[in-house]
Amino acid sequence: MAEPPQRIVSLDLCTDQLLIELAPPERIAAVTHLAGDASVSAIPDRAKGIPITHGAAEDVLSYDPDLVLAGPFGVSATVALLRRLQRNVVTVPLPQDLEGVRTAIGSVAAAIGEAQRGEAMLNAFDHRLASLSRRLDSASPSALVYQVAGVVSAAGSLADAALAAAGFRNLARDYPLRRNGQVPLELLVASPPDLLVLSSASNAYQTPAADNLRHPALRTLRRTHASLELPWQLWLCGTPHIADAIAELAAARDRIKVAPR
Amino acid sequence: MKLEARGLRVHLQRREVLKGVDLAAAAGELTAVIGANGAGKTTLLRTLSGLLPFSAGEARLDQRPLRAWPRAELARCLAYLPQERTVHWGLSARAVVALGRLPHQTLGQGETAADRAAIEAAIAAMDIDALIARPVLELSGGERARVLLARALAQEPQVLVADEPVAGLDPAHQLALFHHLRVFAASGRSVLIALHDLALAARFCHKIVLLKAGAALTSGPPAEVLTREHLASAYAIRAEYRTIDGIATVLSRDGLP
Amino acid sequence: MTAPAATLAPGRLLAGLAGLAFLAFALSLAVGPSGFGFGPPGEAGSLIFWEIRLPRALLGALVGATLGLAGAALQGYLRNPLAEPSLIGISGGAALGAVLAIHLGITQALALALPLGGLLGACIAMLAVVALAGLHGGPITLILAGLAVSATTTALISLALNLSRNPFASIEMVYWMMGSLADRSLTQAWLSGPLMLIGMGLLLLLGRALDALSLGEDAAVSLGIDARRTRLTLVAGTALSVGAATAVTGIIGFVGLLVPHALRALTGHRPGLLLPASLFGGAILVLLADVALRLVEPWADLRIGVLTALFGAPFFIWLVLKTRRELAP
Repeated sequence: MAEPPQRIVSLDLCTDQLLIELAPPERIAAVTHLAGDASVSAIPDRAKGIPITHGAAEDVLSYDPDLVLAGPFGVSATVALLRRLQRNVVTVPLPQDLEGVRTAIGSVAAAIGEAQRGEAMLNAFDHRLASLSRRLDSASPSALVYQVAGVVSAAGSLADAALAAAGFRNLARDYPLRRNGQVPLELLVASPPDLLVLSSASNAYQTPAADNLRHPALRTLRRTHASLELPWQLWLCGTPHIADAIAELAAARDRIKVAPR
Repeated sequence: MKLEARGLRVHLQRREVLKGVDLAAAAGELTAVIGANGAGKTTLLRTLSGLLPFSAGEARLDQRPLRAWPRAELARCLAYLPQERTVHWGLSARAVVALGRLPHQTLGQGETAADRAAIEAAIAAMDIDALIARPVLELSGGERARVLLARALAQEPQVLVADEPVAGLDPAHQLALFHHLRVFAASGRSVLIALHDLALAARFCHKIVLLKAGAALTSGPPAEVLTREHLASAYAIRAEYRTIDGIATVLSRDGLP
Repeated sequence: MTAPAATLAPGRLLAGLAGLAFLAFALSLAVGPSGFGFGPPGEAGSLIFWEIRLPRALLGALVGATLGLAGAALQGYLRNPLAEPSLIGISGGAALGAVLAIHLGITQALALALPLGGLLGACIAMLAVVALAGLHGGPITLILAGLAVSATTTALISLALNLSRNPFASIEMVYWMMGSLADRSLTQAWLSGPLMLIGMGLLLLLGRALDALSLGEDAAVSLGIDARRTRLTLVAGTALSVGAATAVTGIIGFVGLLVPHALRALTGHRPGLLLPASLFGGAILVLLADVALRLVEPWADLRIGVLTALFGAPFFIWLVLKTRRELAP
């Protein structure tokens, strides 16, 4: 059997996290700076001490990697260059549902030669999901993931899958979304979801783009309706940590009494 | 009111433009400032209208130092007509004349009866009744000059200062305008003008101040000022004061080498 | 002898415009994604009306009034038909001031720092433009100077956003460059409204001075206008009103260009009367544009800054050509 890769570089936040959790540290050459950024990474502490790459081909090559893990966004020119230079590059697509998460775990585990650990992670993931699953039918409560700038998690996204697993109907299907995925605040107030899920604390970002999270109408809505702050680190990437998100959603589900319709 | 200057010195951008000028424009008189281009006529008029600071000497209006006059009070007594006949927007002639009432109006107050009376008197005096609704920018040079003079008259000033009021006008308009200025002066006001046309100066002005290179070469009644020697010195021309058919004029022969 | 009959009596003109502005305001309150009317019944409806529609209409009116008035004031003072807050870099400066106030963390300590940052930025931009173009340059010179200042402020905003540790920098860039009234709150209206009103009040004081300046600066001074005080009032009024407005909506361009030109004939070309006329005209324009935006919302994702630019830019080009023709020998 060929020796598994010894110097692995990851160019994407999501592959960063899978790599850190599946590979022994001595075989990780570098990850992106985002892995240690607590605002987007689910495991910032575990990234401490690992060298950082900003993704330029020259920088990556300085680590002389025998395996490069890349995600679907951003670095296509670098990836193309690395492939032309005969480096082994494995692209892991961003999962859009829970099955995709399992596929991603499997791909990374296979690529880095840690099939056993991958298997174990999958089993633990499946086990946890089974215990968390809530029933989803037409009488289930509705939820909406409301983000900065009024963007909501539409159908077919990972967040959508998490809502479904926790037994919520994704209300995004009922709103006429704008092209960029935004919902006007007025519509949100006119027909609010049973659970409003916010991807960040209202004052987490000091930028006008996040003003909608601080809007008085939203504050009033949160006083009269159930809401949950669910940091997006948990469901931004297709890692097993999405189970943490589902766990919180399931707990919220249990607390909600469905209003008669 | 008398407008006078004594030993007036004015600097513009570090250059001394007026080097100690004496001048007196008395009530009831039409006083002209003449001189070659660049002699300082416009600067003198602007300074005496309170638009330019002077570095030495005295300027008085009605015995009071010019500097002591508050701007608002000065505007009610002295009207200044610049050489450039600019009107920036397509205002009607009447609107332009009405601008002369600004010194007498307070913020937010519309036209009072007194304002209307002054405006209509000015329009009548300048004979522009047919033009009042037309945009000033569409009027001919002569018409525009009359409208702008009407603006100054509407101000009901005691002193009228006008820089080249008849420049570029045809002879008929020139004569008409000077007639108006004489009438205005005759009502007990002071009129101070800058002028290029020596014949007009000779004919219509009570007093003339001849400027040469920033200083007054001489001043006095036309016959005394417009002598061959003075004109040769100030303008480098051979010319002289004449009376033809009882009308004073200046006959210019030719330039001096 | 009566005043020319071509123009409306000032009182009637202003009353008419004020009435239209009020109607536009009412219309703005009645239009929204949850339906025509003043919101659905019940608590949700009340929340929508007071917290979402009212701030939007209020800010639309105030910002529109500000931009119209500032445009008229700048054109009157500079005797330049091309002058307008966004074209001569003032709005860009305001946006930069607001961005710095946010990303240097000052707004977290003091909310008022947001419109004050806009004020400061607008002021500095104005001084920069005057320093570059001088007060007596031709109309085109001023636009060139404004272009230089705008380009500089845009670059600095981009830099500031780049350096801020904020994953939404590109969204924020669009927010500033193409203004929007969507989802504003009463908090923002309270924050910037008073400053806008003070600024507008200052600009309205310039009526006499602008009328006098029609005859040129010398004649204006001889009519009793204090040149320095006029200049100061213009700078302070514009910085306050445009600064506060831009800080809460981003840059909305061309309103100050379109409105005075549309109304100039109705005011008999009097710059003084054009001031309050443009105040109401600007409010009407922005409110109606905002209503139009919400009506086409299902099909197009437009921001109001885009809409005003769509109409304003071609008009500006036409004006430039007209001005060049008039200036050409």
